[in-house]
Amino acid sequence: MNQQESPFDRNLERLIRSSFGPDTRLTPSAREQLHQRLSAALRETRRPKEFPAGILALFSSLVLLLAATNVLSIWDTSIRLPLSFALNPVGLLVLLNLACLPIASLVIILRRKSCPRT
Amino acid sequence: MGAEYEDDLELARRVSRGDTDAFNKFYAHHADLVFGFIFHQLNGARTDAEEIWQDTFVAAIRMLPSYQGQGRLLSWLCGIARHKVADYWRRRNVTGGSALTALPADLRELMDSGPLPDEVLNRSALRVRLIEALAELPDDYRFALLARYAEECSVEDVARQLGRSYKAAESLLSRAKAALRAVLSGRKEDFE
Repeated sequence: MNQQESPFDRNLERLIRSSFGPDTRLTPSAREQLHQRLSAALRETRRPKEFPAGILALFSSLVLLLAATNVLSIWDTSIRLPLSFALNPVGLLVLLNLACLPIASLVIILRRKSCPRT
Repeated sequence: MGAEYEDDLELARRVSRGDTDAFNKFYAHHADLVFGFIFHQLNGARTDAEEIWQDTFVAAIRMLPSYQGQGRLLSWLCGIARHKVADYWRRRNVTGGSALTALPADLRELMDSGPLPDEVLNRSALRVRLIEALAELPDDYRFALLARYAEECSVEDVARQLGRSYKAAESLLSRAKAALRAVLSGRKEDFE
């Protein structure tokens, strides 16, 4: 193979050798340091979006308000609330909440599987 | 417009999805060459080169979802690195790219004309152009050339590392050199 080498081949070999000499190589510590930094950056980009705090607060307030109204209506019989009307939304919310549990669990499991730990 | 480099695009997608194996492969295949690309443009300023190299990869991880496979992943990374290096020189009010324009467009002619003098061979611009050209090659071509000439492995060792016969490795090296020659002469389509 060497006997038929053209000037191009010889120059190429010299050029590659000089371009990738020992002084141009990464140190193992620099290599490892960046590997860790990138792994962390990758995990950061994969972090699922947080549930918006404002909506969470709104839901919580709504549930608290409905619960308080119900407790008051039970405690004080003078409060003339159309009970069936007041309780229906609570019942609906509870049902919705329960229905969301298996779906949420499934989503969490799938996300964890698609984002393996490093 | 479809992706030209489906394998690179698939790798980028897997890295973006958080696949650890894909990330390790992405890093192992590209870290050293990108560092060399930066190191030579900074004329050997190692500490600064390491800093820019880190910034390049951090930016690349963020931008990976935008990679569409229109060029090789390594070329894409070199593109990001080139911008970072330009910023570096701009901050120092130095025109770092002037040395690159001093080279002939067809490097093949220069390299065909006879043994290159050491002062030409040692020019950073030539080394940067070599790395850019290597980035255009398929992975196995690049690996074979670097193992044979940078690591100074024998053809038998290259064959063993690639899991091929001696003859197949020899043929691969020959094709890799022809491909590099085509890229350096600006005729990339000659090997595609």
